Amino acid sequence: MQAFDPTALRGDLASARFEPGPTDDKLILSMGPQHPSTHGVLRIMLELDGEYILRAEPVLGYIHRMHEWMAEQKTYMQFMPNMGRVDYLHAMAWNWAYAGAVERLMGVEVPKRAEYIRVAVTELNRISSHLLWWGAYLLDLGAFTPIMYAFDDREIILDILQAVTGSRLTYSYFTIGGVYGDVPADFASRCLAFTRHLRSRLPMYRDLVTDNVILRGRCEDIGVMDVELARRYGATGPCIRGSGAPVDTRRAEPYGVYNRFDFRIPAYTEGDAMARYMVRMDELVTSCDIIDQAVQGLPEGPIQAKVGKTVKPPKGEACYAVEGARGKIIIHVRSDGGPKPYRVKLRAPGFSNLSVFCDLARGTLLADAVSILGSLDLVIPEIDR
Amino acid sequence: MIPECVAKLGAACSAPLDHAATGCVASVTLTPETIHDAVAVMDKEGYLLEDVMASDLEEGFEVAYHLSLLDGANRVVLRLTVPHDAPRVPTVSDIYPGADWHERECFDFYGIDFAGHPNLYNLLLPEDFEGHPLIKDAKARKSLADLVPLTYLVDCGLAEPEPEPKAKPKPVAKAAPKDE
Repeated sequence: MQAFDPTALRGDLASARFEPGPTDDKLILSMGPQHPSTHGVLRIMLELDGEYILRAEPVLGYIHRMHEWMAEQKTYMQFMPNMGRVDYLHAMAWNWAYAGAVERLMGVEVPKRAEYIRVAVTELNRISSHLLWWGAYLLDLGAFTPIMYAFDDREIILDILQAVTGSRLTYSYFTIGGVYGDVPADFASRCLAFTRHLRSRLPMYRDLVTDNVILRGRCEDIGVMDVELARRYGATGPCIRGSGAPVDTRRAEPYGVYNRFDFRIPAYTEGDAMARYMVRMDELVTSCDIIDQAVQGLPEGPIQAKVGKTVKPPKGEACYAVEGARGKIIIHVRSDGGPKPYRVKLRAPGFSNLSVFCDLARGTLLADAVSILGSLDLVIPEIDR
Repeated sequence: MIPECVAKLGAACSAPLDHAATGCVASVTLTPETIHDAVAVMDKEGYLLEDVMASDLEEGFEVAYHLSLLDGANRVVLRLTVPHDAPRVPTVSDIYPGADWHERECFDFYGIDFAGHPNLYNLLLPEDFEGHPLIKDAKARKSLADLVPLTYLVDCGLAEPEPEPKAKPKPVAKAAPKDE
């Protein structure tokens, strides 16, 4: 019988960097990649002292698919379906960022009707993303019921978007110069009915969950991030708005027809998990406001600009920034004048948002780290790309 | 319009870009020697580092840092080119901790060595992955002059690392840079 030799246990590169420290009571824990609170396949290496985190380091790449390489192998239009798979929760925003970058490169002007439809579907998709985050975050914190309510409401959006796009999750509805198909005749009335319905549900959400003392205890003063920290890590979206900076790409660099709409950008100054929670809950209302204006002002006209069958942008490079549910999505496209992109770079907001986690988790309880992780709203396929 | 702080960067050249056509307002060409100080200046000015993008060109690997202020349409791109055989760029992760992962991603995809990086090893690719997937074949590589629209981008730091493509940037000069 061989004696147990702990040094013979070989981990990988990530765990090798987490050697037991000088004292015996340090615990090295690999949380994930199959841990339920990591939403998919994120792994976090943790160094614990009792229940307190001394060091945390996310290990990425478990769902890496090399979208940027795929982009170089496909034609411009063939790459569009990939966009629904990068961030499957807010696929419309990625659709938009890619279509926008190529349109910018080609100098295509998108017809007004298509612009309004784009706004309406992107905001609907944002609500569905926030609802799913809300349910899943509370599930992380141990509350099971809210996700049932969230999915109930989200189902209505999926039905509306299915009627428009034909798919329920991985949309590739945008095309270079517009959108693929026109919306059905009852689109506006269904959207208005939905926003009315969601507004009527929000007070119940607040009473049931947001004002709940247990939730407050799990979120308040947890994972405090100030604006400076967010800026240095490149955290955007609800993360930086929860830190007191009311910055939103829809307002800062208006794209599409967002400058025609009147909407409020929610921001909270506390910078904790609760502030990020509140930003997202308020954004549900913001998105409802935008949807109402977009479908009521939906102009008649064509839904696609004439771009020809083969998309061949002139040589050059362009980037397009879009406010996704998780923050600033940017797609850089570089063209050599051929039928395939020379280089496509995807800037995923979740990637930068997650990188703050090492800083936020230091010194917190392990259970609070789960709360922090959830409050960053991670979608791993987007981070790993 | 070029933001005022660009003058402090010690740039080899800087060119204004049309935001409506490119999404950026200025392109600043730097060298591996000047990039660290330039990024430090941008940090003091309150810029947010959005991403670090590398691409494989005939001249070498181009590394582009996209920065913007928190509010407004003011994306500035700082770029530099390093040769294929010695792709070494100083890290800026000591200035922007968020650059840590972006640089590791560039290392994954292109094998660019970010000197001084605290933990430069695979981020997205498996640890036993061999090679760097986004490096192009020598035949497939394009020169910067083939990728740059003459109307807006002037890149004058280009000719130094590799004298060979000097014949090509001829049309670039036509774009009338306002710098020397």
